[in-house]
Amino acid sequence: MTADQIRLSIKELVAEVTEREPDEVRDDARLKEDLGVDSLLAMELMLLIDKQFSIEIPEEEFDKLLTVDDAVPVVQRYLAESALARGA
Amino acid sequence: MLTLSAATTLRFAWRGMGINGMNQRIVVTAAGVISALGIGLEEFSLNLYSGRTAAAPSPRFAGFTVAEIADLDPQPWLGSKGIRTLDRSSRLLAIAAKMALDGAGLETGDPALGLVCGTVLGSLHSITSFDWSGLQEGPAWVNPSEFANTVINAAAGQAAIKHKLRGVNSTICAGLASGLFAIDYAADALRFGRAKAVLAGGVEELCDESVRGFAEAGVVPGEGSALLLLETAEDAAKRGRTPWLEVLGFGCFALHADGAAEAMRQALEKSAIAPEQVACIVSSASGSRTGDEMEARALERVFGKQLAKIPVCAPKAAFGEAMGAAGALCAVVAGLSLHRQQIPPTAGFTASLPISGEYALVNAFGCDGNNASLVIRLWKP
Amino acid sequence: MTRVVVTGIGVVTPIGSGRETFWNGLLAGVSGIRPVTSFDTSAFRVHIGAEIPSFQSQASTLGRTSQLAIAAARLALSDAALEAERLDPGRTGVSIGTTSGEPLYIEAYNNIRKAEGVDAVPAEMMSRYPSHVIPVHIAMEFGLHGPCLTIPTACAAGNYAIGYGFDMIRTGRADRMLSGGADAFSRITYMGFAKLGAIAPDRCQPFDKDRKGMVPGEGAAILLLERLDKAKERNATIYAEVLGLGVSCDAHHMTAPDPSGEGAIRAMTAAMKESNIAREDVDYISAHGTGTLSNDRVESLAVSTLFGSRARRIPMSSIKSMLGHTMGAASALEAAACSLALSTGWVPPTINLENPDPEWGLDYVPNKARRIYPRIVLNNAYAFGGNNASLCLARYGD
Repeated sequence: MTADQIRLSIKELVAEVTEREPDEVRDDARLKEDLGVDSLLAMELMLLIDKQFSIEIPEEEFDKLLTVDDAVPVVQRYLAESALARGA
Repeated sequence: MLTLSAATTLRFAWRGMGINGMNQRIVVTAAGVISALGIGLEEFSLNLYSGRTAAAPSPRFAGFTVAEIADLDPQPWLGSKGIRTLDRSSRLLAIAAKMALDGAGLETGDPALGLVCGTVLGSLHSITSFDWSGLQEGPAWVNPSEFANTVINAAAGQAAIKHKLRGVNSTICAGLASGLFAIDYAADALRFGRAKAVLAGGVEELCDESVRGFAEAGVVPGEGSALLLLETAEDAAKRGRTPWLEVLGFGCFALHADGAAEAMRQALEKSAIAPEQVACIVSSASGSRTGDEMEARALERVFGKQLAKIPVCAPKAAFGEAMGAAGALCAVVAGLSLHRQQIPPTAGFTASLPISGEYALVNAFGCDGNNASLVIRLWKP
Repeated sequence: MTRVVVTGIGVVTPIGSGRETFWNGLLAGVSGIRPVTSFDTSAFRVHIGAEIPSFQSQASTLGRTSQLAIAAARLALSDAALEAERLDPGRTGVSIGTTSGEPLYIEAYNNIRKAEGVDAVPAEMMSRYPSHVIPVHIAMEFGLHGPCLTIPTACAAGNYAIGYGFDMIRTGRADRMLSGGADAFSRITYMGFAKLGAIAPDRCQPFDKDRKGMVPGEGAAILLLERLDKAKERNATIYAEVLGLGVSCDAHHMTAPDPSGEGAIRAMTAAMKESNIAREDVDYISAHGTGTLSNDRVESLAVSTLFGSRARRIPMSSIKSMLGHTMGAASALEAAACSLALSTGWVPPTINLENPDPEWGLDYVPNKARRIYPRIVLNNAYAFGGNNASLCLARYGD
């Protein structure tokens, strides 16, 4: 999966939980302050991302993600790790 | 050794003196209705008085005849934001609240504005689905936003958030009598000075679990929400609002063959009226053999020969057994009847009839537990 | 208006059943928190709970929650030395708080659905779920006909139910009410709190700087509320007097408290106003104190803001440190503890307090019970949906 595909996927999920259109979600918009992702929505977002990519991002790491930009490399890393684990 | 302040000691001495509020008149100044029979009070009463029934074979629940709200679209009332995590019960209740608040001229966000919601099941679907997702996918994969809707008071909490209802907020489960208990609870909150305005009524949603699990011969499962805006007559006057109705006496009696009759007697007694003064009766008859027979016997016991002169309607024939919403829906029917001096048809059974008088009796009886009755009057200053 | 007193206390709890065992356990700092046994927690990251394994659910048409509640009601009447036959059935009612009703039926429904498909589920299974059956079963047990309902305002439900009982008696609609709360341990509840990351890994440490969360539990508490004159007539033991209830709604968030504490402040203020007491009269606060970072912080902030400089001198403890969070039973168990605090002079501790959170300088009654002879207490409870309720009780006889 390319970084762009990951980015688009994440944006769609953020758009879903914040009830907006995906193109309204800027890459550098702050999830909490700009997009209104409160603690409960953050948990839901984390769940949706984990399910979408079949990964498990630890909560402590997820809490550090402030924008969509921050999330992309983290998802990439866990995708790579889980591919390794599967022996792919 | 701690001592009470002198002021408090004095206050204790005065405590037996009584609460001023208990003599307050409680009025209804607005109402919101969303039902299979109609979205909004106008459509509801139009369909009610034309003798229509919302009972129909269900596309959603194959093999069942239900009174369901098809294609529920909450956006016209709730907007497009902040409704994603609202389940069906929350949506219905929030819509009914919006309808009642619109035109009520109240400042939402007022800490003295409350909500009391009757329900039988809460959102059974939300609770069952949440647990199901845990079984299917494992506990690590459940959606935390869905957990919030698994508590029975979720709808009341969601509606409060949506409409900034910061006052008294309670959920009442008293079986089929829930809605009338909720109205009584709200009226008491006003009398005790715990609130200045309270939306009172109830909600119930149809779902696979409820339609299958509570099927009873003759009964058409229904859904919806109805809320009456209650205030004291004094506060309504201060706000320049003319009330629609007055809430008088409430009666209840549980688990007794004579419970329904006793509930009615209590309601009449507390309203200081005799049975013959009742202009019309809104019964909770739902098509249930045991329930309807029980109510018929109780009506005879309380009204005797007078019953022949008092028109009775059974609006559940029109909107189904809407459980938590039924009490308030029936109270609305009573209000409409008094206003028009005409009781609506009982869909498929009786025609609309003229009535003469200012008092209506609303019943909410359940064979499995609680029985409640409420007297409502046309507002008279 | 009629005065209302507490004359019977019946409790079924993770630290034992019956008033004496319960109270002795609280004062001794006994913990009821252990590894969960009623379902498999291996798929969870947490494994502790406050169950009552000694309370065996009977095979019956009554769910576990109803059974817990009936047991507590029986204990309350026997504690009150009042046989059911002496109750005036038309003038005695039941009000119960709960979070989940009878959730084990939903779990059973889904278990069968998973194993055999939804059509294999017995038709009447769901009909046992509605939460109003709990007070109805109690009323049936004792032949009662008075006002009978469930107030399912989640973690604050007990206070609401006791408040309703108080209202029924003081307005003359009942002479006595069996009021309280009950909840059975449920995987639905456990799963939800676990997913929220709210459950502590090894113990419940309310108000500790290093607290890591709450611990779900189960239980039931019923108070016999009685008209004062009736109580005196039969020479009843009077534990406490109920003065008033204050409620509010955060209208902020479904699962997190309003961080300003404003809703909690309004509930306490309303309770004191209804009770005709002043802030300087509050001698002890039974906290909601779940052990989560946010609840304990917001609650401390609210108390601190409301009571100002005096806040530090009002002992405030959380018995959830010992009982876990028994959901709908919690504030009823806490009301029972408050009644006993008022009648005995002792207040229970907050156990597991190694580093009391210093932020507000409040006295959380660390680890050891204390005899302070409180005369007026506040029992606070905060719930999902933003339901806040504060119950005010007073020592009887003042």
